[in-house]
Amino acid sequence: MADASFDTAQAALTGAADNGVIAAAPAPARPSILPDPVRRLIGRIGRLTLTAIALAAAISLGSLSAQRFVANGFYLTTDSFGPWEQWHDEGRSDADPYTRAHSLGRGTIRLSADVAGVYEARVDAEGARLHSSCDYSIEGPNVDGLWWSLSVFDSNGALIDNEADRHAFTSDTAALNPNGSFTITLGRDARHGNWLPTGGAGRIVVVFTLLDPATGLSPEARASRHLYLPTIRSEGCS
Amino acid sequence: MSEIATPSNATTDVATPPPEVRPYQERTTTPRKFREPSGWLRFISLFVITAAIAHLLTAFYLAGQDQQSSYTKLAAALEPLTFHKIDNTSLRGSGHGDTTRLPFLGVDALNIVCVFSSEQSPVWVQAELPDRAWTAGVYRDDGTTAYFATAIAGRPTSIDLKIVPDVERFQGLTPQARGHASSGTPPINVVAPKGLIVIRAPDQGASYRQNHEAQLAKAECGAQPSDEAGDRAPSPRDASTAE
Repeated sequence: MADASFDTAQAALTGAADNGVIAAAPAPARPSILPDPVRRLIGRIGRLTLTAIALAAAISLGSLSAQRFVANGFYLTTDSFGPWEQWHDEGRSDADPYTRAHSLGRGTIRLSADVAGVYEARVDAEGARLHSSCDYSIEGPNVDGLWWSLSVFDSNGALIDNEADRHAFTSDTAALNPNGSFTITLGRDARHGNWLPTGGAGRIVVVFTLLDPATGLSPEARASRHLYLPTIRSEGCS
Repeated sequence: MSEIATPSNATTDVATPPPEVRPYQERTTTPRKFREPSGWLRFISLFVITAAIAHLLTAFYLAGQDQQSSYTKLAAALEPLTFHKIDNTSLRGSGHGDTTRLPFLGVDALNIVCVFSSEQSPVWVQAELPDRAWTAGVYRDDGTTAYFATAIAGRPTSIDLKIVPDVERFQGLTPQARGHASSGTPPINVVAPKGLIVIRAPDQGASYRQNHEAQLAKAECGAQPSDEAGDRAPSPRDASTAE
């Protein structure tokens, strides 16, 4: 082992010993059928192609991720409470670019997050996509005199056509339970109580709006609006 | 094969200078792989930085795109400086089609909207919010809220606004400066060059709808004449009050 190391060191130093400088031994040249300039050109083209592909992939990745963040939000722009999601800076003057782009791209008039909590649900409590082929029971607590509304839309945000012309309930129009809580049912077939028809809509979106009192809410109270969010329970699908 | 030069050889052979072997110096310097990033490290860094720049540019680009905004849709469809009742059904029925449909605009409230631009002259707004959950909001064209008010239960709330494009622009002399007596509480100044004024009446059932619509019909918005910049333009309500 020691002899082998010695031989290697000796070979490495041989060429340089005459000049008084130690140099590494030259690597053995590989035989090639292409002349050096052609090989260098091919290598350069290959590297440029790979770089261009990588840049295109990076630009696509960055652009698509931004579009996804704008459309669906992420943890810096949205709050999730079970099935409910809220853009916590929507309508505010100091909203981040994602929230602004979301508001502009959606093209609707929403109450600002400063004055109301606007929550959307696209899934039920089990995480299954809300669909018009299923029946749902939405149960909410007493909201202590605050005004609320619960509306149902198709996945494009359009009202679901129905003969009863029912699309929403508010704290003024819903039949409340004796303790102030409420139950709203979604389904194709008519039911007693607070029933919203969803037949034929496909995927559906439920929007719950909780309006702050005229005196406003402290930041702490605003942050705890979600305690009033109703639960969405599936009652079976057909 | 020549002999390896060693310090001991150097002392014995005076004509051949000793080779400069610097094993100690080589060990103390930073290893090459850390001193110069490898090709892969550079490649990954370039990829991440490019993706991050593309991400930010796209986000800011989308934040400036207002072709689909509610303001753009309604400004193209509605006469400015007049309140219009809007909901998804009425917009569909008005012949504007889906181009002006505002998604997720529910029927939990009756909405009236006034499209305004205060760049030529200030815009005044007068409305009354009679009861709980009635709201008035001024939204800028970028979707942000410039002003918002909610009525208190059982206590009518008067809304008297003057919308100006920016706080720095001279808005004319006040009535007091022109020698007139003040006509009461001055309007609240709201800064918004363009946008929508939205008044919402909560849905309380069919029996209340007619009453709410009558109340909403009293809301007014209009441009303020430039020669009376300090005052708001006289509205029909002012005339009836004077009588």
